[in-house]
Amino acid sequence: MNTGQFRQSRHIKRIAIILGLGVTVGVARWIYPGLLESYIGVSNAPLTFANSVPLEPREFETLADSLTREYRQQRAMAQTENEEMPFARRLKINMLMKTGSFAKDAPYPHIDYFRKAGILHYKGPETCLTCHTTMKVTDEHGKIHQVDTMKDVVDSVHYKFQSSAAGFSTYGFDGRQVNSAGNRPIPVGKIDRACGVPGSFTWTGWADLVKTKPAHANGETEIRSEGCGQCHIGGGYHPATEKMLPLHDAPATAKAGIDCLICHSPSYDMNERYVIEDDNGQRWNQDRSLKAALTVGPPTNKTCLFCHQHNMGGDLEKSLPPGAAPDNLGHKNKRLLHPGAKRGNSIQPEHDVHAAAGMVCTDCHKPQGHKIPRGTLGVDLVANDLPGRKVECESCHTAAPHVKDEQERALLNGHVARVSCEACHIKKLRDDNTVLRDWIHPIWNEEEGAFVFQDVYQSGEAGRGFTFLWFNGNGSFLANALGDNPVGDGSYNPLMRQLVKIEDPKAVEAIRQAATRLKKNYPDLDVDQYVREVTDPLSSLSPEMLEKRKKMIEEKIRPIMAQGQSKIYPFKLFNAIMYEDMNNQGPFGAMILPFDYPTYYESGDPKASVKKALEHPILKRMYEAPFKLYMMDEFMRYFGVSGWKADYPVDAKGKLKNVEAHWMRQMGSLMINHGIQKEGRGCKECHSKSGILDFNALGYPPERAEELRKLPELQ
Amino acid sequence: MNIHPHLHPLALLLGLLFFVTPITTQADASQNKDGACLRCHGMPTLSYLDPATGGLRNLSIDSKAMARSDHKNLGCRDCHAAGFEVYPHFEEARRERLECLNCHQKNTNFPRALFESIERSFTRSIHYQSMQDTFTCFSCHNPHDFRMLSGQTRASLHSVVARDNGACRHCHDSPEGIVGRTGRLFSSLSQTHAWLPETERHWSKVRCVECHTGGDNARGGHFILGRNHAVRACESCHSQNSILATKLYRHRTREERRSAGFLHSVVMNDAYVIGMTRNQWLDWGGIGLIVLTLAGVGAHGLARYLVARRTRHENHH
Repeated sequence: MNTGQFRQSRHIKRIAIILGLGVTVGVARWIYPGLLESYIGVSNAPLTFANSVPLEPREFETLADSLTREYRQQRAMAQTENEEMPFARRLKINMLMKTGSFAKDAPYPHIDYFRKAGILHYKGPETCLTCHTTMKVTDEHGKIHQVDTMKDVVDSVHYKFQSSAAGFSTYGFDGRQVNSAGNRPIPVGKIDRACGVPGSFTWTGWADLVKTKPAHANGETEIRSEGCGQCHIGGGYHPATEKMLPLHDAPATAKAGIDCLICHSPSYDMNERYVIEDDNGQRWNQDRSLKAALTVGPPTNKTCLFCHQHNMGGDLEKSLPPGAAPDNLGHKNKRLLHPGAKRGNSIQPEHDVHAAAGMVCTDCHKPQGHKIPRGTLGVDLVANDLPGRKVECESCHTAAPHVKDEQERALLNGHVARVSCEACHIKKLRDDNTVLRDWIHPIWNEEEGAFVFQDVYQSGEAGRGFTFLWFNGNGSFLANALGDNPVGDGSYNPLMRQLVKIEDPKAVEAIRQAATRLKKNYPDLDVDQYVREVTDPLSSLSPEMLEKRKKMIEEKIRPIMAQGQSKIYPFKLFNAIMYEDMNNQGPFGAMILPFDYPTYYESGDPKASVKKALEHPILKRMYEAPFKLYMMDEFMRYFGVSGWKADYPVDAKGKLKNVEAHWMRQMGSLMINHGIQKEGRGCKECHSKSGILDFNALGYPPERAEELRKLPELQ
Repeated sequence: MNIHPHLHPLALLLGLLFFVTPITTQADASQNKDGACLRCHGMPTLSYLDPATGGLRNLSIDSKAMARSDHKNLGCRDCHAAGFEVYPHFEEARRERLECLNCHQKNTNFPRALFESIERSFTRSIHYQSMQDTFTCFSCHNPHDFRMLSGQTRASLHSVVARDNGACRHCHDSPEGIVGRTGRLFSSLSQTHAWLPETERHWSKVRCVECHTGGDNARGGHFILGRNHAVRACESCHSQNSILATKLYRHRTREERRSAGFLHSVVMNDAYVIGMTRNQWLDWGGIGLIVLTLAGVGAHGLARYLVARRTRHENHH
């Protein structure tokens, strides 16, 4: 080789390397996301919102002035609340409004910031990031970090609602802690957790428009909004699916759609929250008015409850403060309300002692940047941004919380080692707390003008709407509280007893009546069989499956129940009947299939609705090899099944195959920690023959159980 | 350690039964007798915040710790006499004032002189001097898990330190507790001990009283000294003649005597002596060195002898 040739070949090599690098970067930057998007069937496009409009400087000042006046007016109203004579009150309010020191109060600092920065148009996150590109976050050791604000939001559970990290208090039925060291991490959280409360998956039920025919509209069609996206801060056409795929971040267009104001603006108008449709699909509108932007601050109870009202007091709670979500359903395409409260514990001041004391959510759930702690205990497979951060009564109330009653305080404090605060201080849930939800027998609802799922049992009473279980902070993969009686005889077994049997006569009777009502619309329904199946969901398991279940509980679950220190906690009970893919069934249940909301509400044909939902691209991908290997196999092993059978449950003729409707094999148990009442329970509410605690079922030896029912001190 | 080789296993078993049986029955009896009390007082969190001190007043009895304590043979009612029969307890129970010396001074089973000396040093301690009315034995000693230091071994050192320092820190770490008792606010322990290097490590390895009773053990562990008189010199402990030898490390002499015999422990006095320290490796190593030295000297002598003989031989020729 001569010098010229050598130089030439080196040149070629260099070009090849640069080209190779360029191609790799190009593939990673542009082609890979595009390919992935088309594979999972999601679309992203620049998002616009009609209410994001620029104001003239004069309009800005008028708005600023009216916001400040409104705030002062409200304060003056509150201050004069005790004035009984309306005229005197009006005069007092007027005086206060003109009082110098009262008027000085500038409630919304952003009015001034915006004025100085010349911001007359709220354009979403880009406006916030003008100043808040980075933010200071104090970690658990008190160290301060400067972080990228957008990254902090996008990596939070509030945006991505899943996590591939460790830190789950959830254990698979195979005995492994979800995503713990030594296991292959998979994305787990609300985004991919099938659930019988909403009846759908986040992908298949993100943003839907439903055509209803309510009685009051005289035959006219009313469009209503429905879907998971109403409560999640992404503003795109689908949930933050990209964040759960390998080597992938949320695209810039999706980030620009994040709704900062729903958490940060107390004057956010929930009437702006409805589904809109454009060329790229359906998505949720949001309030991007300058009015909402000017009032921003740290989250308040009001802003948290814009979404969390749904799982606290529920959508049907009355007398909520102005602006609450259930009372502001949308300027158009009004959101469908969800009857049947998810947890049924109201956080309104009249039901919760902490709310009454003027406390805010973030007093206990102390944020670390945009990561908000949910505590170290958890049963429900919801991802946790700060798994080590405690949220507990003891942090404020100390280990000896009972102070005033000199006679009983020590004895009450004595209970703290075994009994959670919630067990005594949450005495009841709301009456519309849903316990049993039937998705397969929808009934026409005149008022809504749609076919609606049926709650065959709702109750807020102890022993019916919620029960008491030992809990050490661990949960099963299907939201069952795990724990064990520290002085028990080994008989405590909620997965074979409390969570799989409904025996309370009052509850059984109510279920029978509900089934009888269903029979009017579904004449083929066998009431006896219906009651049997719902009150004894294990009856649908084959004898082999039942044996396998018992064996797995003893071998895999007992060691997890025995960990740590268990206490008695109250748990809201829930079960649902949905269609299941029987190809993928195990001793603890089968993969439930989602409903397509419009088909369900409009046709009342649950099977057609399932078929429609199964047409969603990501559901098809779920039944293909890459998804099977990426996460479904591992998911099913946690579920107690050896692997995922990727056999799409619709046959060539378009019929569902191997799909059956069943109640889940055990009731889910959800933690209830809000709606705390000042007065706890009295001794005899537990320590008596008809007490709310079933000491035998809680695993006490028979003679100890008897003693606990008949304490000599109480005779 | 070997069990005596000639002892018949059956005899051993019988002997064990003889000793064990009465003790178990006794434990069961006291368990039953105290069952009613322990139904409440067995709750580990039976306690309340005492308005007088602001600190936690713990009423719970750890029956396992009690069973290990020096008072394990006593039932509740042996000490707590009147007013505790029913719940709520009678008013007289509230007025109960127990004192260690009720049993320990008038009872011939206990060395009277010891308790008198304790009383003498206690009455001179800073606690008694500044809080004569409220500071009692129970302010530091929990009679329900009390074990004398003499019963401790090297293995339990860590828990002894934790327990004893816990008694001090129970008050000294709680500003409310201190204010409740003394009426004034102290600086935090970490502030007052800022001069002490590796503070937390010291606190986890030695007891507060090692320094706060001074270098002279004759004063006794109950003559607690305030900040101005406590030991501050590092070399008081960190030296051959450590004051710890007569305090926290008392067990060492005892254990050493037990394992090595009285003579050994006196002769050795922390030094290494072949055959006495009974470290086979060191012994063999030492013997090896001696053998090697002797061999070296021998070889050298032999070589010199041989060389001398050869020289002599050559001179002959």
